[in-house]
Amino acid sequence: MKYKKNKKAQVQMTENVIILFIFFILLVFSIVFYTRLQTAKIGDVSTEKAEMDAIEIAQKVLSMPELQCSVQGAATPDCYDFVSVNATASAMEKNPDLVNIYSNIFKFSTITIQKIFPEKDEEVFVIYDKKNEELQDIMPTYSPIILCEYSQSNFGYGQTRICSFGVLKVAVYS
Amino acid sequence: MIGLAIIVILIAFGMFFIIRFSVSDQQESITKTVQVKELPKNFLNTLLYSEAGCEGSSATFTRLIGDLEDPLSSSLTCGGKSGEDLFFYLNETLSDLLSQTLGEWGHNYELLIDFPDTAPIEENEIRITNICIGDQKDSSHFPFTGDYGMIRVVLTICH
Repeated sequence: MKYKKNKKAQVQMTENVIILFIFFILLVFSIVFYTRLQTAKIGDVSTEKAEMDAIEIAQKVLSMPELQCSVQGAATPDCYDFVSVNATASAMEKNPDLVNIYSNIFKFSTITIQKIFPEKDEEVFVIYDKKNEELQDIMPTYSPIILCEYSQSNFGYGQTRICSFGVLKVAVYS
Repeated sequence: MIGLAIIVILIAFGMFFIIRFSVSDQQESITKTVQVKELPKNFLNTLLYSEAGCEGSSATFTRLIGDLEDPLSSSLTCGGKSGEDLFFYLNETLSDLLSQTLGEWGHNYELLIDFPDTAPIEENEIRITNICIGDQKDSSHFPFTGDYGMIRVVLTICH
């Protein structure tokens, strides 16, 4: 009788040990899963922040009075004065310290403008470029823009506006 | 037995959390959503104000599309094409431009130019598409008045 009771107790003991073992395995799995999830979430939050920065910078570039073009004093949406773009790009190239003037606004990013149509311009105008070696590039943001040039009218008075299709690319480093 | 029941309950909880998190991770990124919402409007605005690449003229795409209502009376010559061939020019040019921009940026799109029924042309619409499938669609409409009625330009981006 005593032997039978002992055997039953032994079986229950083994069962308890197995259940505790499975329980701890599950606990370890859940901790690993939760940690990975949190790490991924932290990564997502930083990517999201960088993406928000990219949108914010793109919006700021699109409304820069230094580059915007206007008709009779009124700014045209998504329109850039090509002469100003060209002048800004060459000034930035000649004097890289100019980047510091805009670094509070554009942070670590590269902003370029390229003419696409009627003639695709191989030259890419870099209007801001501040890289950080430690930071990686994220997916760039593209915006279609109008690039306008003004030329003297054939009749000798007034100006003719010729506009091309261009692309503004903003790459933020995060 | 109670121990087994507890393990089954724990596994059920675990499965529930895994499914819940994997479903919520399928959300689109903020950039993509914001960009795509604004893109059709910006794209059409830019396109219609840009030069259409016609010889000896600074005609915009708006002018070229307007002239296509009655291409035989158009004075434009674009890419060596005039008259009814301007349709081919516009179709080819817009296809190239869309694939160089929206296509390269990874968007699916459809551009529709709808001419009024009263216009003296064979085909009343131009449709350029690269498989516009997807639940979410963002469109921008740009209607303007031509000689024969309302011309509609619609750009749809699917995602």
